[in-house]
Amino acid sequence: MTSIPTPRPVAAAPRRSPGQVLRRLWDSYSFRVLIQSLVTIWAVTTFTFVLIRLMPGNPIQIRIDQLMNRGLTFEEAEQQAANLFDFDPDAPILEQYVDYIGKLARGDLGNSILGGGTPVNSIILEFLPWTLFSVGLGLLLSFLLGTLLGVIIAYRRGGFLDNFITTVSSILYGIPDYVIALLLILVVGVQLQWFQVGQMRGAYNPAIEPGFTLEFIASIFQHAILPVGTYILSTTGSWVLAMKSSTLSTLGEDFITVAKARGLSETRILSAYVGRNALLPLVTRLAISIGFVVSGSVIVEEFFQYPGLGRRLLRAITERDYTTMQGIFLVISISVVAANALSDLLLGWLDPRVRVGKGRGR
Amino acid sequence: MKRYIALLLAVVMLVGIVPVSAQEAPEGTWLGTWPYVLPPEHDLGSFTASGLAANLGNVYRSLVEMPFAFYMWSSGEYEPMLASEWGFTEDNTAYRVTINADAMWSDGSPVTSADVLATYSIGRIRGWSQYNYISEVRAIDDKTVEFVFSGEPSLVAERLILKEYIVAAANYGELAARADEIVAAGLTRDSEEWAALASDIGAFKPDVLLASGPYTYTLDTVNDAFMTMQWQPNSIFSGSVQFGEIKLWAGETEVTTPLVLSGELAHSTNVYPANTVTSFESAGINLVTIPRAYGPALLFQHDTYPFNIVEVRQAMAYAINRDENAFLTNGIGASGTVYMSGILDDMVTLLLDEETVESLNRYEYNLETAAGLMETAGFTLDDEGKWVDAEGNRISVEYKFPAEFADFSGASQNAIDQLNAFGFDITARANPWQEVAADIRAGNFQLSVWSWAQGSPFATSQFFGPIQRFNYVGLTDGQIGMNFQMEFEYNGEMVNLQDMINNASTGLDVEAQRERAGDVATIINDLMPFIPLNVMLSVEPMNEAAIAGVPDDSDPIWLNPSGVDHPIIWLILQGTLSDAQ
Amino acid sequence: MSISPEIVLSVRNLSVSYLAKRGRVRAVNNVSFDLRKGETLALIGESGCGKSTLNLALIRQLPITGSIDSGQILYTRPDGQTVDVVSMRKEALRQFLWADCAMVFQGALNSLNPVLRVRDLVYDTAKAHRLNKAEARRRAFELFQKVRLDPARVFNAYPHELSGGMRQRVLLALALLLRPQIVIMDEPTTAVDILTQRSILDVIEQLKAEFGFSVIFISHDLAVAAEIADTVATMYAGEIIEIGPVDEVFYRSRHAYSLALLNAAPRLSTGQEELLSIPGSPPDLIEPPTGCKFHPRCAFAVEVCKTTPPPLIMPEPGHRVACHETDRVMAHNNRKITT
Repeated sequence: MTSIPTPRPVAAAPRRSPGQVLRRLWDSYSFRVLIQSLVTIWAVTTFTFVLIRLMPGNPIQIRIDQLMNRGLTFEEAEQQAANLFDFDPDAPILEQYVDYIGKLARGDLGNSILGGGTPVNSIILEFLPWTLFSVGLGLLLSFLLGTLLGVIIAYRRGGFLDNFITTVSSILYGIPDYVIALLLILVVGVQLQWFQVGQMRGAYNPAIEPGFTLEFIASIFQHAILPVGTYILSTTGSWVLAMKSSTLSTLGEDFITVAKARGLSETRILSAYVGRNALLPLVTRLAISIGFVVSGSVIVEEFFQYPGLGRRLLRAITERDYTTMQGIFLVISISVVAANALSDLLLGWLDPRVRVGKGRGR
Repeated sequence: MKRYIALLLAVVMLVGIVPVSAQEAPEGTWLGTWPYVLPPEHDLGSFTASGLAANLGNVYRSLVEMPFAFYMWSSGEYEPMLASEWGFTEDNTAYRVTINADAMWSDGSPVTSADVLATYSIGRIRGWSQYNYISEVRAIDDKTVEFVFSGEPSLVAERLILKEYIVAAANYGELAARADEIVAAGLTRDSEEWAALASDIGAFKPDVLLASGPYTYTLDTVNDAFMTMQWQPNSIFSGSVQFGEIKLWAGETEVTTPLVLSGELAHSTNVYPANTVTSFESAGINLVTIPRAYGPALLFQHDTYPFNIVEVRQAMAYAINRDENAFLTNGIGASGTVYMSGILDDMVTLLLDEETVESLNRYEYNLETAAGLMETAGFTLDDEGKWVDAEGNRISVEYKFPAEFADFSGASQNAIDQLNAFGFDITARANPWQEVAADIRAGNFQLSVWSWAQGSPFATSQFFGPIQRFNYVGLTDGQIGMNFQMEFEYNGEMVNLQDMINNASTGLDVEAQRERAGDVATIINDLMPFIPLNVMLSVEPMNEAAIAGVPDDSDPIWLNPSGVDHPIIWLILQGTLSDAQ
Repeated sequence: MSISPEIVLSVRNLSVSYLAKRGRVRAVNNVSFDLRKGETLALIGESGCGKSTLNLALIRQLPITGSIDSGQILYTRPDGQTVDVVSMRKEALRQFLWADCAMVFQGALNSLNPVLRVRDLVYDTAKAHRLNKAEARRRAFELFQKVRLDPARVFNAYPHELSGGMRQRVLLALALLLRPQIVIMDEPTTAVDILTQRSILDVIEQLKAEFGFSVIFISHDLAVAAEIADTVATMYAGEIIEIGPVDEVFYRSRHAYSLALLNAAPRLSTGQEELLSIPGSPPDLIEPPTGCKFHPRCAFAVEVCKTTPPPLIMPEPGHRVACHETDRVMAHNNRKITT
């Protein structure tokens, strides 16, 4: 910029106009991420709002059909379904939307449209923790186990262990989780009778008083074994394979040879040189997985009757419970967006090269 | 002194109650299932979406919140539950019910007329169909009520009255009082007050469940995997039942299957696919077979050529081997429709006169007759064995069916295969059931499948589906559904099938009802507005390792259908069933 | 530059092979040489001639498919004790590495762990060899200064924050952290520009003078080799075919291959002459040619070259060569130089 130099007060206070403040804010990386996240969430929310209402069948009609499928006559079904719904299916969609967004802005997800309406907030609070716990634990354990095995077989490349684990991983990777869940129930539970199918259902043994007691916590873990086991069996394989290939390419890097030539201990090389670099490409995948933890695994939770959000979502969809569906989809989209932001941060923390250009100048 | 007398009185009263409450809970647990609503939504309301109706269903609700009587399908008689006497008044202007003198709520208070009045005050706001027949409910005395008919007395109304669950005024009195005020003020359904009250009724969740049946429960005993109901001493049936606890597993068919196999679930009302039933049998689990009182029917969209031609529909009825269809797709869970009249085969002799039954065309499997009808309709076979009309068009139509209902889709797919073998050109397309239902209502289909008949002992009700339910006459918002015209010329005179069906079961004269139902049945049998493929049976596991006293297959109780008037309600209440361990 | 007669490393009949799909590849064949204290030995040859394999073998860092088939690598410790690197146990080898024999690899960017700061590289190295942190830091600062880096900045930097030349100097400093007797340098100047190359070479000279270590220098840049080396060894097909003092090998090459290699390189000292490329490509090491392995590409080849492998002869003291036609080559060589 060229300008005629004019005498200026030397100690001009760095007063910033509101415009400048906004500009500085916009320049801040985290602020931009925040705004982008909010816009994404809003867009997804609006999209699901419309999409949900385009689904065929309205809740009242579906309730009647459902009751009739159970053998009720039309009169009985209609009698039961009458006045059950806190919602007017004929209200203009725009009106419903404005109402919804208005409530949402105040943190109110509305009430379940099914009679007497339980607040969606409390529904989510009831089911979300179990999903976070079970799917989260499953993800954590499968990630740890998968990366560990992946590194080990990369080191023992071509050996029996490598062939064995790679084969098993590839097979498990190809089996959908609900098939594993079914096999667990029907083979291990019903055929081998290693556990009582019904006793393992739910989040804990209802005979035990909930509280911070060893017995209760043990019961929680016992009941999580089947879903968590299923998640581990169905996802560890992909971590093993990803970690193996990532480790192999890292092992081929010069800095590993240099580290060995420097006489570093094997544990140090494994952790700081191989491990950390091999994990980098897996971080993004991990973050994406974390984002989908919240939605749970619908069918697995249904099979094990585990009280997670996925199981609740399934019911909401079947019954066309618009508000509950919206609430759960909102939570899912928030968590996916948040997980992506988290992945950026995590990657920045693990990989110094990524930090460049995000404020930390050279 | 007065104090002492009061105390003495209290003691005496307590002692008076003692013999009842001292009664010991029977041992043993019933292991059943129902897809109840999970916490935190689960509530104890009688009119909420997540209340008793959803949580206990028509099977278990009667064990908690009893109606007046239980209907026996084999005899057509009612058995007493909450009521001790019932019947039309001598002048037939009202229906009178006397409540059992010993009937009590679980809190020890008696069941009285006030409870019935409160129930019906709320029912009026909710638009119950009883009010199509009655104008008011009045208490004759503490234990006797009369339902005053607004028009002709009706057997249909009788059933509605006797089967209605009675709620406790202690819980619902306030809402009932508001209802009475609104009605007294002359307000109608479209008033704001009415709507607000209806909404309040739908949202009312009592803290304590007042049970008239021998079982009750609290929200504490409802968890994510199962709920348990506890025996309570104050019911008329408390002394007869043999289970101290009713345990209900949550979930539907796919979830209950392993529990049946592992023996943790003794009786299930779910519909299991034929091969699951086979695996139950091979696991040594007993099965009981009861009617489901409905079955799959092929639905035509009557604006679709050539389904608008009666001979084509008749030909299709001849071209499907219904016995093979039922057996191949549902095994012992279905039987081919015999009479093709819109009335369940079991009920034909009860609801139609002999002459009509004899005259019904049974459409016994006959490809030659079918081919003859096709030719009459102007179709010929082309060299690939497909029917073509005068312009050379094949019968190329799309068949939409619900992917989730294995029993329906299996049977109808097989029917489609048979029709294609006969010379049709039908393409099948599976959709989510909600979508199929919506498409049928909108008339957005050519050929589809849904249920025919219902679990009701009245012809009107059995004729209802699908010819009214999925036809323009039973739909709102201009939906056309099958679009089968209900007013037409038949045998030289104009008939209104809609009115004929609605009038089929009115009044008290059973003979006259048979005649009117016969007219409808004859028309349906002739015009084939839909093809009733088969009648479904509910094949229910009844694990005799866990349940003792199961009546043998010949017992008439097994004629009661599963959806309404389920046999186990009565068998549990009577103490016929007990815990085998 | 002073070279003492003391020998620090004596390689005897070293053979290395790789297991490939088609069979065993003899990548280093019967190689012997001595490295004296303070001496710089340059290994030259085309890529694939076995020079990098030889170096990896010296520090026992061959890839998993490679193995030392025979021979000895005799290392003489400062205390005079001589050990065979080939037969070292794991822990002994780990201690030998970097403390006694360090290595500067080619491709400086990939030689540094991208997720660690330079200081972590220093501390890791120190910790592995029981050098305390403070001392390591002091030495690192001193060395960074000597290689003309800003110690405070570099010490806390991540590799990607440094330029190629800086990274190469970091590696150099790192190599000297433990005061090794031997530093192997594998093409340390190939990835950097000419000016940086100059300054790195200067630094190496200076450090050598100061610390008195021996260098094994691998390069295909003959100009660099000529400048830095005391002794030059030419490798072809896994064998040392000529070894001798730098002037001997460069100006009185007696092996046709050495000569060809010299003629193929541009020479700063003599200005641009015609560049002669070596016809053909390096030989297949699984089924090497009979006789002299270079004969298919050799302009001087005669009948005997095709059948008999040339023995290693010593035409001058300290200058050994394996060629049947040393005289003809020598003559050619001289003519070239004098023009």
